[in-house]
Amino acid sequence: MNTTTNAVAAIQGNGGEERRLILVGHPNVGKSKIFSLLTGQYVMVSNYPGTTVEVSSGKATELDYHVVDTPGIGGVVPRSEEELVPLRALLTDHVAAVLQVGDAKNMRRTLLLTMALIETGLPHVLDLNMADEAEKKGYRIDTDRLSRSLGFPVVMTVATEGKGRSELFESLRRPARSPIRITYDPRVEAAALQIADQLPDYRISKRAIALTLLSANPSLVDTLLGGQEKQSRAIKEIIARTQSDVLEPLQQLIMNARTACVERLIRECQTLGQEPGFRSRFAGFLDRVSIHPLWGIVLLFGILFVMYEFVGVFAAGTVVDFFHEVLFAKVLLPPVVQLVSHIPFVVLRDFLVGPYGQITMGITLALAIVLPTVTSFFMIFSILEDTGYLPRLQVILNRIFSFVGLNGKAVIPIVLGFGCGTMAVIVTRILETRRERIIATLILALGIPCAPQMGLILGLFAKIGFIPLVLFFVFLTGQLIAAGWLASKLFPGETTAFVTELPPYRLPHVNNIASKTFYRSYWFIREVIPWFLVGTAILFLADLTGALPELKRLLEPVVVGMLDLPAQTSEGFILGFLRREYVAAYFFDMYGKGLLDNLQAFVATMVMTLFIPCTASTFVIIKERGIGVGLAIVGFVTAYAIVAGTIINAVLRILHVTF
Amino acid sequence: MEETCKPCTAEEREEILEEIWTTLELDRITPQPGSRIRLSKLGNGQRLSPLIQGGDLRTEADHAVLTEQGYQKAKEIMRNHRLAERLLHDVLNLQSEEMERSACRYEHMLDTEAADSICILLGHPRTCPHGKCIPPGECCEAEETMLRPLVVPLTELDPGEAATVAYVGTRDNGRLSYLTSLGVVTGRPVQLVQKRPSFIVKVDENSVAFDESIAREIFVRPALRRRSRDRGEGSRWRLRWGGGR
Repeated sequence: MNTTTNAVAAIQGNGGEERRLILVGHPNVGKSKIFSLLTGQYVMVSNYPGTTVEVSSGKATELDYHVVDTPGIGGVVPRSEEELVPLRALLTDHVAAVLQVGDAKNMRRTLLLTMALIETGLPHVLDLNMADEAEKKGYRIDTDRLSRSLGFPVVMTVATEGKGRSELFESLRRPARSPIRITYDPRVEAAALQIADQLPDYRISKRAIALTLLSANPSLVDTLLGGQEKQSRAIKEIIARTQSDVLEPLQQLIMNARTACVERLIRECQTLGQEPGFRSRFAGFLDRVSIHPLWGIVLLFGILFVMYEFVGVFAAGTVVDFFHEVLFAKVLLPPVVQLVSHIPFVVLRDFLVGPYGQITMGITLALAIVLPTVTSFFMIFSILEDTGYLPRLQVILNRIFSFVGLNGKAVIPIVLGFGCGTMAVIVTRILETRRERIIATLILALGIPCAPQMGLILGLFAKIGFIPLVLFFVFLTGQLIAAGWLASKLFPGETTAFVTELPPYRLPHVNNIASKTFYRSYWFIREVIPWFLVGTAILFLADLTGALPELKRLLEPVVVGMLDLPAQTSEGFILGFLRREYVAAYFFDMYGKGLLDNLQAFVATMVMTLFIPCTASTFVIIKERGIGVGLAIVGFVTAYAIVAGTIINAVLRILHVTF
Repeated sequence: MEETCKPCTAEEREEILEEIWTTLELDRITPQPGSRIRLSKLGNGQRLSPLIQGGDLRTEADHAVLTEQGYQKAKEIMRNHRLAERLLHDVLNLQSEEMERSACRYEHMLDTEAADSICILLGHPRTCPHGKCIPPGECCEAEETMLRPLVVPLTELDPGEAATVAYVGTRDNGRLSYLTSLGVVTGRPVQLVQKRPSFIVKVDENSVAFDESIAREIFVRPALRRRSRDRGEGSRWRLRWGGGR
């Protein structure tokens, strides 16, 4: 989407009059929520940094703006692909105004970024969001005074409740350039002038770009001036020369000047009030428990157990049984079958309601089995996202992740993989090095079951037993760690150090949870039904033409010989190339019909989990990682799944473990 | 070489206390409240009267007795003197005569906090350059490890301990700017929450989590440690298990 917006900007740049409003700010301050407020579009929002990795844009209602939402900025220097997005947007887009969204209880941080942004010379508006939290903490902010000092509108909002909406809209009608001009150390000023001479024309002040380059690692020069060899060498030389005159990093000199200005503003405009109340005391307690080396793990297992009970036992058990056995089998399907039986063609009848029928198999599996499981999983997942638990999980899992060459930051894409692998692969952009992105992608492709799969696994094991489930995840985790460890040796390189902020715990809003669960399930089902129909059609055709028995015979040595599974499971694996949850649903159904015993179900589920990801995620892997690495990952994963399944099956049989 | 100073009018009383302390030490008596010394050893008895009136000394027959208050004053002056000697000798490399002259001036100028800072800087030395005992201060008593420099990497703090950021010693500009943005900046007070499984630090309203490798790059001045009972303030909910290392 990033490229599309740039393309649009290029077209509009030629005389077109589109006024772009760019949303920028630190991670997790509510930019996306403000975006929703301005455009009326639904955007996924959560309580952890890194929810937004791509640019989304939309027309503002009531205002003459095209609004662009960007991923959060950590510091003024971008550390990953995703953090480059806002900088690129400012450089190349046709920006009419900048709306900085900041955390009202974190004024130092917010204003420090403001100081960097006003250097661009663009019209500005500052929105101090989460005003309710600031108020609870006892901060009082004099926005009028701040607005006078900064020279542009400053408003306070509580975006989740829509408070301050009209003030925000009003202020966006009159954005202004700040008259503040910070004077830096003379050596920095001189260098900035020299660099500005070397820069091509951009839409924003060259001084702003020069200061950013002086603050950053030299590699940023190449990133921004890719292709312009001569200028980029000259600029790097200026930076190196200036740095050699100064003891501390140049960035420090720049920050010192900005900090001085920020401190003055804070003294003028902010007062600190009373003690935090009881609720934040409780949040503080929860905070300490969830990042504690022992209790943190206990809490994690507690959460997993609740998930098992709710998703596996309740949703995939009770609810699915009701949908499948009662609602579909007794209420919905009989009249449909009755209706179809009037069609004179046998083939068409079978196509719709036969053993591989579109309705009796495709739609039924999707709606009766997958939908309830996925919805319940997304619900728990959304609650976890909104409370702010995920960043704490990074803290708990950092050590384990460092063992496979990743750091705690990779927890976010991996955990998202339990929702949807496709999305998760995109989110690996938040990782800082290519090496980390490859390892994370491999782990995602190899063995992170996505929501529907996970739900069905939980559902299946709710019937087999709790101990096999634990064993299953121990096996799976062991393999992921081993594979990740090998990959980290295969791609040597340093593991980047882990640093992240922990947002406060928040009570999730029921509305947000409901809409997130709804949208996720809705998108999911909309995407999944065509695949289920196509998959069923393929099986139907294969059966009709007699290719299916052939294919089964072809796979028999592997499926029956090596894995000791009934020949019919190969149908499932064939479907696996389309959608993973289809296989899961298929096995779930087979188990229900008594076609798989407990051990077979265990092995089949393991192979399926390790098996290649669905078509959509394979495409995304190839798109994000490149065709070479992408295909290597897919090939490895497929071969590995069969080998691992065979070994596990053999070992369990030798040990006479049948569950 | 000897460490008595010529009495200069304003500090005369402190000089006498100092004299009493060193005399006791010469007699191999560890000075403490109630320590007795023969009046004859102190020369002119007349000059003791301001001390007796001030409650630092009392007389019993032909002995002078150090009161609690007098003991505390004497202890502090000795500590200042000998710490000053150590500073001048070890750090500024002054030779004995010069060192002595300056130490005599410093002992009256230093307040408790300044003396503690020097003490921490020098790693809580126990003896002066002459080999005599330096009375330990609060900073030494609160300290389990007797040697801790003034500026330490964050890894040296205990969970729950507060400090001020001295500097961030990273050469990675991306990391520096991120830490700056989170408020981990020179002069800002921070509190270490825990070290395991990751380091967690509170700055303003932010909680920041990071690896040990980053913790080693952040240098801090620890706030003066109080005795351990004062330390875990407000920690009713604190879970004690395994927080430190």
